[in-house]
Amino acid sequence: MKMSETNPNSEERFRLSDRVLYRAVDDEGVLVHLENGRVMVVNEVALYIVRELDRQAITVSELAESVSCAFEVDAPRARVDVLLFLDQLREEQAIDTLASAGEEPTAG
Amino acid sequence: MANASRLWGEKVVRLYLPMTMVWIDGLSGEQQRAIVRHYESFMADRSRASRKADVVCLAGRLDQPLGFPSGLFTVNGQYAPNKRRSGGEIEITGLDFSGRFVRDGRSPIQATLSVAREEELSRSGVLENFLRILLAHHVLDQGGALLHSAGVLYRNNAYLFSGRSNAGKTTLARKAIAAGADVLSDDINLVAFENGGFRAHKVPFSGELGRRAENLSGCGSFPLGGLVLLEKASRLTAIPVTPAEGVAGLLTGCPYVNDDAREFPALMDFLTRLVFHSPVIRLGVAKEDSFEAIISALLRCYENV
Repeated sequence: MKMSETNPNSEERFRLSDRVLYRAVDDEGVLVHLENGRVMVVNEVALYIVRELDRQAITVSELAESVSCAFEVDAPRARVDVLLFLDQLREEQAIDTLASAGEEPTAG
Repeated sequence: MANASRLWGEKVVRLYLPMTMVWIDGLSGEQQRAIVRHYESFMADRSRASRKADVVCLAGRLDQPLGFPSGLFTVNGQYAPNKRRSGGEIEITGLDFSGRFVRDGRSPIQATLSVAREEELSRSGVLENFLRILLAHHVLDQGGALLHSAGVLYRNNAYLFSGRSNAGKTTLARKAIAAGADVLSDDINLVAFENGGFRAHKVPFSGELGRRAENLSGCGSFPLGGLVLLEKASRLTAIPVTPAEGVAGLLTGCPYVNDDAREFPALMDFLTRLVFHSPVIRLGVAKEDSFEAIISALLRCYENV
């Protein structure tokens, strides 16, 4: 399995970039990055994560717990899914990272 | 806002574009004649003369050429005017023109298109580029969207083959013409919801093959037969995609509005409705595939959707 580049124990908070818009279509999601024009199609779980990231700045642990509850998957599995998807979003410059509460975000 | 400080003259043309009546005012006689010549089949006839304008555009006179370097307007090797939104106002700057229009929900849309030399206004690099952007925004309000696509007529239905540059749109259009089919455009078409169904419209914008379908009678729109995401491939393949993949694929082909946050909700509403009405097929086409083989594969795929 591919290793995530996101530190699973970090207290970094992530949030969806304000340059990214998304829409649920059927049971998938379509994300658009307004600056680079990239378009992504994501599954139901990833769409849920995107919504969480849009709602608030959130840590890996909080995201994993939320996914675990919403989709009734065990916590370690949810954590892996979250980490891998965060890597993907980071690669697409679709999330901002906040090192600690109140800090200005940095892209990716 | 339509307030160009100096106009070229007092002549007017009324262009009846799909879903959009455009009045261009303040033209010189020469500009008027050039536009009428170029857009002959889109001039509003008597039956539409009383229709209110959706867009009123003033033809303005710039004091001097803009003088920007051409590199400023090159994207992926192709000429592309710059578009900038400031609130409800959209400004477009090209190599030799400056245009703007207001998107504040009021009708008619107030616009200006200004050039420094009289003969520049009717050139495709100016008026056509301006109208493309204007139309892309305006038709969203009317339940339509411009789509980069080759539009091919088959059994009186329009099939739109959407794809990025170099996906094979023009090649497919050439094959269709060689096989005796009519082509709306090999570059850009308008798809819109009307009277309970989606229709594809011809628009007066040129692709590599030039303006097509000028000889087609009627209103210039046709029932939408199918939507295709066109790709080059080593062999002919036709696979239905999920609604989200369909929306994503078509979204990349909606020029001028797909990077505009304000237009995103309307565009996504439209595309979502479109793909649920007309499922999208991903079509891989090899160089040697004939039009007959391509359309047969597409229709077979639709039978199984």
